[in-house]
Order: sequence, then C-alpha cells, then structure tokens
Amino acid sequence: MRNVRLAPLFSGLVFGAGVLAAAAAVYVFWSRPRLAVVPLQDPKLQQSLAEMSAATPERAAQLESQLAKAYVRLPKAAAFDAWMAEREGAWKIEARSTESSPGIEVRHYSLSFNNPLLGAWPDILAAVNAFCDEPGLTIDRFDLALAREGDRFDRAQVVLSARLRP
Amino acid sequence: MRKDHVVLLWWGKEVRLLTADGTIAACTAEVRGDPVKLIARMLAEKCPKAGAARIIYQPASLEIHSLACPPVSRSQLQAVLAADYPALNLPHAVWSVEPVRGNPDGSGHSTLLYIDNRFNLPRLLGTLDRLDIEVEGVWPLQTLIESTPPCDGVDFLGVIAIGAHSLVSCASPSGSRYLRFQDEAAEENKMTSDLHAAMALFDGAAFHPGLLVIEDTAIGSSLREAVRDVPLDEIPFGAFLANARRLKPGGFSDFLHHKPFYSYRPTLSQIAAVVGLTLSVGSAWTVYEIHERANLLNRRFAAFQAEQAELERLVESRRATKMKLDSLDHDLALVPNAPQHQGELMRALNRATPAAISLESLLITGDNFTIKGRVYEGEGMPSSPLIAFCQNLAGAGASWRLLDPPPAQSTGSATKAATVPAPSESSSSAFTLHGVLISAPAEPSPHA
Repeated sequence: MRNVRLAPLFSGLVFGAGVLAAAAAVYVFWSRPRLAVVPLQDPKLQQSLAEMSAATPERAAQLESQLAKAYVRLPKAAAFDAWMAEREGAWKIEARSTESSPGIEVRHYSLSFNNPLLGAWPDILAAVNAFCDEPGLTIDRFDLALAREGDRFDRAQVVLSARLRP
Repeated sequence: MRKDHVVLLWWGKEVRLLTADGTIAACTAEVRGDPVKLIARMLAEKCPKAGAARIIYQPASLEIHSLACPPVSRSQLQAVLAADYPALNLPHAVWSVEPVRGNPDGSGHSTLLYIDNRFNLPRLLGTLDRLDIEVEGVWPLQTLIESTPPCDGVDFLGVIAIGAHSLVSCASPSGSRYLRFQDEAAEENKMTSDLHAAMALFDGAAFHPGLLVIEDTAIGSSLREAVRDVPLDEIPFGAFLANARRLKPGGFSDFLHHKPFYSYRPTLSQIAAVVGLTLSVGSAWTVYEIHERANLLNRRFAAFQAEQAELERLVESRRATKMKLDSLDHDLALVPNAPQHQGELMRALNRATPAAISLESLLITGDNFTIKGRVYEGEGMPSSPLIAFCQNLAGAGASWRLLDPPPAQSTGSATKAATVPAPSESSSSAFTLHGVLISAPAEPSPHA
C-alpha cells in the first residue's frame, strides 16, 4: 500500500466522482417509484368470474338451438287465429292481451263457456283436452263451479296463454 | 519477506551504514560526488534486503544555530523562529530543533536549530522510497549524542572523530549548548580549538563523564591525546550508532516530524481515492439495484394490469353471455315444453267420482288445484267413499298429487284435514281437496 502513489489531482477527481455518484444514488433512491408491492387481483372480479363460470358461449349456442327448435314447434299466429275461431262459438272471449318479442308472440285469453247447462260437461272436457293438446298453449287458470241447484254451472272460465310464431 | 533494519550516518562527505547484523560499511563521496547516489549504491551492495532505515543527518551543508527560545511546541517554535530564519518557510528546506532546555539558573531556554535548504534530504528520501526502504526518522547527530549515556544528563561533553571529520558537542552547566563540526582533515587545529572552547564553557566546574567516539585514524589519535585528561567514556562507533534505533520517530528533533495522518498527503490521497472509489462503486451498485428493482416492479405491475384487464374483459364477456343466457332462458320459459295435465285431471275426476260423492267446484290455478264437493255416507258402507275417491284419483301413474288426502284407515263421514261438516244435511258432508300438478305451465298469465 505504501508504494501505491496516487497523484493528489487524481485522488481528488476520484473522490469528487465518488461524492457525485453518491449524490446521484441518493437522488435516484429518493425519486424511485414508490410502488412497494404489486396489488393482488380484485377479489370481486374473481368472485364474479366464478359465479359466471357456466355462462359460456357453448351454453349460449346450446340454448339458442333449443330455442330455435322450440319456436319451430309453435303454431303460426294466423293458424292459431283460425283454430281459435272454431271455438268462439262455445267460448266467449272476455279478455285478450298480446305481448310481442323478437321471434315470439304471446297472447293471453280469458274465456267463459257460453253454455252453463250441466249437460255441456262433455263439451267442456273436450275443450280442455283440446287446449292441452294445442302446442304452445297453456291453461293458466281453470274455474268450474256448479250452481247450488246442481243443474247448471255457476262458473266455467278458463285463462289461456298461447305462444305463437308471428 | 523479512526486511533488514539499517542505520545510516550522513557525516559530511562520508557515509556510515550500520547493517542489521552489526557490521559497519563506510564510503566517502568524491569532491564533487553526490552522497545520495553513494548511499543508494551502498545500500544495494551492502544491504540489499534493507526495508527500514534510520538516518543520522549531519552533512556539511547543515546550518546549526544555537539560540534562545521560548519553551513552546515545535510548530510554535517554527512560527517564532521563522522571522529570523526565513528558510524555515521554504518548501524545499528541511529543518529540525533539539528539545528546548531550560537553563539551570532559570534565565531562559535554549535550543539548537538545524536548517538544510540544499535539497539533499528530500532527494535521499525519494531515493530510499524508490528502493522500497521506509525511513523511520532523520535526526541530527546531537540528538543521538544526547540520547546516549552518559550524555543524557544535564551537562556533558561529547567528542566524536570518525573518518576525516570531527564533532565537539557540549551542554554547559549554565544550560547553553555548544556544537562544532569540522569536515576537513586539514582542520585538526580547529578540532582542538573546538574542544578547548567547549571545555572553557565549564569554567572550571567538574566534568561529568562525557562521551568519546573515535575511530583509529590520525585525527582520532590526535584528539584522543587532547582529551586524555578529560573523564570521557569511550564507546565503540557501532554501539554508538546502534543507539539510533532507540530514538523516537516523529519526535521533537526528527527532521521528519510526523504530522497527523490526515495531513500526510499521500495517505490522504489514498484515503480519498479509496473513499471515492468505494462511493462510486457503491453508488453504481445502488443505482443498478434500484433500477433493477424498479424494472421488476414495473414488469410485475404491467403483468398485473394485463391480467386485470384480461380478467375484466373475461368478466365483461361472461356478463354479456350471461345476459344472453338469461334472455334465452326467459324466451325458453315462454315456450311450454311440458304436457298439460288439466284435461287428464278432469277425465280422472269423471272416472273416479262415485255416486256417493258430488263435486261442486274445480279450480286450477297454475300447478295447484282445489276440488270441493260433498260426500254422502250411509250405514253399512265398508269404507268412506271419500277415501276410495282419493285413492282412485291419485292412483299410480297420476300426473298430480293430493296434498292432504284423508288417511286410508279412517272411517266415518269426513277426513280430519279436508272435510268440513255440512250444516244443513246430517247425512252428507262437504270436503275440500288440494293438489298439485306435477308439471306446471311455464309462464302465468296476467289474467290468472
């Protein structure tokens, strides 16, 4: 070590460079990004993703196929109108409403039987069977009550919903 | 590797070298010769393993001044004496002072000042440094004399005659110092005069034992004759020179008076360079680490953001798909795909109703149905017609289920839960049956 000769100017330059480097290091240290840790993934997003794990495009395609097949089985509105016209003699339409959405039309009917005599029971039974057999048609309410005298029906009402192809 | 320790005596134009094994080598410079080169050659030849040296420096060019001074430190003394001796401030001049002595009578203090501005000592030090020889200290000969018994007392007389040179030194009882150096053999008379002048300082007082170092030369013999009556202890030159090893380096009279380590420029330069280098390397490493850490954090954060965006995109996509699925489910729910059992229920009622039962009403709301009627019971009937009715109605394979059928073992006119006694007729009772269709319609009507 004793034999290492260093010019004072060189030593001064090295020392000055060291001090400058230290100052630069301190500056870099204080101006470094303060992001200490990377945050974890949002648990709400993870939970949402888990909850919607079944919502896959494959499932959507499957349902679309099912829906298309189901729509195909529905009667056309014009055909249903004709079918309904055949029953308007025995049944009176008390209320009617329609809901339309793409690909389907839903009609709601409230009907009452025109002939309240007890002997009309087979006709009522046949009509209900026809309602049940018609595709896309559901009986939402059926109310049949005998009068106290027992010779006629006090109430004979049916509420229907018909799903039709527009 | 072990280094030898040598003692050098620069004595006028002569040089004496005391090696580590006690041998003494002597050389004399030529008239215009350079003693520094002579010393270098001598060291290379006589003691090539020399690693440290102590130098007794007494060249002919060394100015010697005996003077009064205040009892102050060496640096203060330099400041005090610099007014009278400007050479003390010359950058190339070397100087030394003997330790300040107080006069026994209390009249003041005195010292010896040595000044050499011929640049000999710096050249010698540079030469030894290049030879990798550490110089531990450089002292005047007077210092060596005053540290050698019996001259380490208050007053003394020292006589040295080596080679062609002589030196007479004394400290008188009054405290004053006397030092005379003669560097020419022809000056024999001057040597004797110096001796007598020194002895005169004692002014008849008794001599304490003094020091005599003489080589057997003509001058030495003459001088020995002159001090024959003076009580001096003669010491071999080698033993005298070996006393230099006991001198304290950096002491008061050391020409290389040691400065604090931080004022020693080479050391300061080395420290500054090492500190600067360490700071540079440490700073570079720190900056590199910070940069790398920041890069790592940035990469992680970018990956996190990408994952987050991908997750959000996936959730958004799933949400849209789910909305589509919900819509499809809703549309599918609008389309009935299960068979309707209302007609079947009415046909079953037609078949299962016995004569003892009169049905009064049938209400079907969605998948629930309610049957009300009246049962006629008579004595001697094996079981309740209502029970048989219920069993026939809800037989195997039926698409409905009665929620509160009467128990099979019960007999009598009415079941516990579903029959209500008729107030008007004692032979008949009303009943109400609740049931549920197993397959229900998909969407209730707003008119229901």
